[in-house]
Amino acid sequence: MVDVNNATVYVVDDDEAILDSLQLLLKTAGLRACTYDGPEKFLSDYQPTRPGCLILDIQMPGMTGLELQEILADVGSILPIIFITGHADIPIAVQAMKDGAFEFLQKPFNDTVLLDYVTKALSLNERQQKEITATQSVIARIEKLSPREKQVFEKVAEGKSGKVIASELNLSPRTIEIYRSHVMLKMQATSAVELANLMNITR
Amino acid sequence: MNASKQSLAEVEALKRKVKREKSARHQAEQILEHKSTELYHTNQKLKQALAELDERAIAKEKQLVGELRANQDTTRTLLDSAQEGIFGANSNGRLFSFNRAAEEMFGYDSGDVIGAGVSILLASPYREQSDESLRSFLQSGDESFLQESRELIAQRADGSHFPIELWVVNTVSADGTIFFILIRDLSAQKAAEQEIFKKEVEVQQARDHLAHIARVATLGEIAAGIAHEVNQPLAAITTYAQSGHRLLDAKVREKDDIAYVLQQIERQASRASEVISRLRSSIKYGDATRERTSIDTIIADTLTLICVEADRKKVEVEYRPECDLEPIDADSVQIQQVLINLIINAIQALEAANVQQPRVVLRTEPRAHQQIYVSVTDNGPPISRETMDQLFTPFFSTKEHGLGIGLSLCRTLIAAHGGSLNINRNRREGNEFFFTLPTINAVVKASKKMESSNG
Repeated sequence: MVDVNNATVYVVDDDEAILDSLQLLLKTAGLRACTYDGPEKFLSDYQPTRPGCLILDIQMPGMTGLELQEILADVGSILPIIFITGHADIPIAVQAMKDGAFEFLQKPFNDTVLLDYVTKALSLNERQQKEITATQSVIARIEKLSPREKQVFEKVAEGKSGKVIASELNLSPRTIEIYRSHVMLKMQATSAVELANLMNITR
Repeated sequence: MNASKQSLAEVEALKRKVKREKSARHQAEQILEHKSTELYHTNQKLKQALAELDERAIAKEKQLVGELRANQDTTRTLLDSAQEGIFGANSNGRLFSFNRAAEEMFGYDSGDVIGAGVSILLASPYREQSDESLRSFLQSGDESFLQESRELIAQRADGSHFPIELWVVNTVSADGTIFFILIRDLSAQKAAEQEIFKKEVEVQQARDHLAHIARVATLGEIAAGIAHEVNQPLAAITTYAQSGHRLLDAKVREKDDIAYVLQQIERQASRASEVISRLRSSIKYGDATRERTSIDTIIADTLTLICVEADRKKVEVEYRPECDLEPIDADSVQIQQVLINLIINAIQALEAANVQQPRVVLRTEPRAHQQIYVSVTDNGPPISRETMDQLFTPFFSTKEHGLGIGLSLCRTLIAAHGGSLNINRNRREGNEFFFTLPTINAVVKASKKMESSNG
């Protein structure tokens, strides 16, 4: 299950009634909601590390929902976006989905559907957040390797044998064996296959 | 002897006396005879002279009568040839002449009406008033009775009515004041007036119809915005209601929350219905209804209808309200229609020209002579002089699918309110359309002025 205690559902819409009713609905579903009546206000409050998802209106004065989506993508946000719109504007919906929107809902929306999307978006966010954390830890470990160890790590992960690596790096197979054990230890891996997986995460 | 002698002498004397007397008598007789003959002749002459005189008098009389008759005939011919109905009446209102035109108009033979009262020719209520007004004129001598023509309703022999114009001319004759009354049948004229009025009504109806079509067409252009305006509160209502269900299902029922949900639903429902009633009044079809309102309210209502369209086209619509503007007497829907037209035109022009930071600014200002000035200004490329000259021409449009009725209709609608609509030709940047509207006080003053000049 999603760790709802930790996640926040952000809602951005210029209509106060929509914000208020959504906050109430999310509250009844046991979700924490944070509402903003404009994208600018949301951005000034936004912290990329905070888990959650975003319910975003498209048609707003000033910055539109699509523009906010673009800005968030530019700063590498992984916050899943559920777009809500008053009128079914197909080209806009297509554009939003192409740009990586999580879902697209037309007002007025069914609460079950909305909450289902929200739950799914939150678990996606959680998963992605975990992956990121994992990747970050792998990257941190790789950064602790010496340049020579890094070379050996890459070649082992590529599935090369000790002999091949020794000849490629012009070192003795024994020396390679020592580097290999250091890499295993620093990367917290027990096999060449695990090293290959860690390598893939960073790519 | 002396005695006889004396007697003889006496006889002789007597004899002479008789003789003298005799001759005298004869002489007298002769004179008498002569005189009587003379008399006879004189008498004869006199008789003859008298006879001659008589003859001449008769001839003269005959001549006079002839002349009079000829004169009467001429008058009669003259009267009969007149287009107007003419009849004469004495001071008691009794008819003594009735021309042919009058006969035709009224369906009476002159013989039937001579001697009757003038009032039989008039329809009620004029019939009852005619004798009285004649009498009051005779008593007061008020010349105004004669000076002006008046329009009345006349009644024919068959009882049918027709409108007439009537003049009274008076003249004093041996029998006292007599009147000649001239009448023109206004039936044809009235029918023509009726026809003109009918045409005017038709033109008005056609204009209303056109305004309605244009309004619906304009509303079509901003339909997305209107739909959005209704959909927002509906979406909120749906979400509130769903939250309410969840609250009821929850183990811990929070009464306050349920009450809050219901209150919000109510509020949003009335918000939706307000939009709908605004919309309904905008597309309503019918006669213009004037009411006391403020230009501020009209602009605010217009902006709620237009804001989503403006957002969609990314045009900033700004309204700088001027406080203390006097109220106006206007058909809100029509003024709204004019504003929507001007704003939509601006938005479309800005979009077509791909203007950076497109902006439409609405301003209101009080002006001299109790006028309110309203302007819609955009920051698009200026309209060319040639286009400006044609802007208000019906069926002229710069838009690909434009009907070309918007601006010319707007001008008509503003003119119907006693204002004027135009484009500011002196701007170097952007385009400014403006119109003026009289304040309610100006309208009241004008109508008072009219009343006093009429009364």
